[in-house]
Amino acid sequence: MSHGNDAHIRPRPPKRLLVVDDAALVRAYYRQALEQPGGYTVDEAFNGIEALEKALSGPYDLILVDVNMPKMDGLTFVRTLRTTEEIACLPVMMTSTLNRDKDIAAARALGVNLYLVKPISADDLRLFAAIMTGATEP
Amino acid sequence: MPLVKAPSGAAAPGGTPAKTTPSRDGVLADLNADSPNIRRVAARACRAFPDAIALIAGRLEVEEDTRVVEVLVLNLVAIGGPAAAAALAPLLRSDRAGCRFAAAEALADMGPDALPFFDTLIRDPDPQVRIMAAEIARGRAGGAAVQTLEHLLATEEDINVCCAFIDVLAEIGTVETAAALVAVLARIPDNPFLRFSVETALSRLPTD
Repeated sequence: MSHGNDAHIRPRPPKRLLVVDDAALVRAYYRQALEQPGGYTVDEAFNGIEALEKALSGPYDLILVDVNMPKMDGLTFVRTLRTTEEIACLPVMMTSTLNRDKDIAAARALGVNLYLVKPISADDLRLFAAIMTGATEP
Repeated sequence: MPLVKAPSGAAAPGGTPAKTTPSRDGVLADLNADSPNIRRVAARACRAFPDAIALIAGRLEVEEDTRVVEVLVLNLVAIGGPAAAAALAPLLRSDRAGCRFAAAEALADMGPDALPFFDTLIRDPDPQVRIMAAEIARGRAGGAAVQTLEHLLATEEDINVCCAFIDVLAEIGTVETAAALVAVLARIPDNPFLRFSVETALSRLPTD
């Protein structure tokens, strides 16, 4: 065989993210920021219930979740996620307009790994997604 | 759930047991029970009492279980009227996210009874309340709520509130909404999320 070492290097599959937000414009903005060539595969959910269903059918490398959503809010989603064995360890980045210390503390207490206050720049989204997934920043 | 038992032997014609009416004291006790399932059943039973709105509003101030909140809020929507809307409006300031959104959705479902509260809440000093109030306008395509959002967008300083208004306007706006969107982008040209929101909303508005 005359294959060089390069022949054994397989490209890693793109990291897979789940964006959970009831605002269609936010989901579209995150998708555009994160789903670029060489970037991430992005799935979307409208609320916590839909997000739980998708998380269970994953796998995902990171979940980005809003707080204020219909049917199941982001905090309830994280509480449920952390007590559901199959998906309990998924990293969660919470993004919200809520910026009070008590909002952030409540999220952290539930197991949110990173809390970002909106609006979030595309550069910051990519940077923090890369840090949390161990990906090379696109 | 403690119910007032029907007198022994009481039965409707055809052998069906007589329908029992829960006592007010029993429902009140169950509303404060540890079990969310018991509280949820009591939440449904609240509607039978003349002071249902006060009972429901009181429980909503402290209830943490999303499913119980949902039943309480649905009861207020079913009761309807200005008093029910007035009980829902303060919940947009709740510390509980599920409660905030449930109240906003309920007010959105209440029709004209909610409009006076929408007009006040959408001008609230707290940007978080203005963001939640925008949800009340969702589903009111082409109505006065659209004009209110367009008008307020002209002077709104908070980027997140602007984007919340734009997200709703993208759904319910009219041809005339485009001018308001172009104007806010001219006023705040340097925020990438606002720019993206305006450009996406413009592509979704009706064109004729």
